[in-house]
Amino acid sequence: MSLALLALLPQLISAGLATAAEIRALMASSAPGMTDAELNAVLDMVIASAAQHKALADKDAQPAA
Amino acid sequence: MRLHVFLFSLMLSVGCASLPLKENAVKGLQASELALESAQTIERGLCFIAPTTESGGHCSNAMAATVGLTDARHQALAFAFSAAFGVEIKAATALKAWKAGDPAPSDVATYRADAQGILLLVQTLAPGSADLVSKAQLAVNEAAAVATALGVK
Repeated sequence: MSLALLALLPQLISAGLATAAEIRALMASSAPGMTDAELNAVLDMVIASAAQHKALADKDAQPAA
Repeated sequence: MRLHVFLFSLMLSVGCASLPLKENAVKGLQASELALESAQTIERGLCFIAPTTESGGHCSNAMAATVGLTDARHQALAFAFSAAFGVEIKAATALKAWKAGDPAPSDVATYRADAQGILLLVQTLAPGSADLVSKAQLAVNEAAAVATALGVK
């Protein structure tokens, strides 16, 4: 169940329902000793959030009309 | 606190197996990513009057001129941000498969270099924004922490 919920978080980020800042705060306050699957779920969130920001950067990189 | 955040916090607090090297790398990459996002958000806030709804290569905010952020500089920074986020996605993807003892993913070193490049660009193109420079510096520091955790020279 835990991993299933973790796996949902990238979609929540993509939908704007969770932010990288929130995840960062949780990471900072969490106890050490995450499992490999939990770490990979966090990486999925990083990937989802980075993809959103890359899309914005791609739009901004276009020369002004 | 929203329900999903509470549940996530609860899950993190009961994590079991220890993977300190990978955990340090993941935390560093996550922190670097957040700093990079913050730098981009600050830059877009300087460039656009309504950054949540505006996008593109033209800065609509008069504040941009006060820190030397021309349209060309905004576009150059956006290009660099895009490249850095792209490499970060590759590094995060590679890190998912990484195990202690494996060689460090090459994308980690590339990402560290890209973050350093953004810092130099920010220092050159928008020197009037201390916040922007500060966040870019943080992104570099955290990227370096990832590299250190994975043994990148």
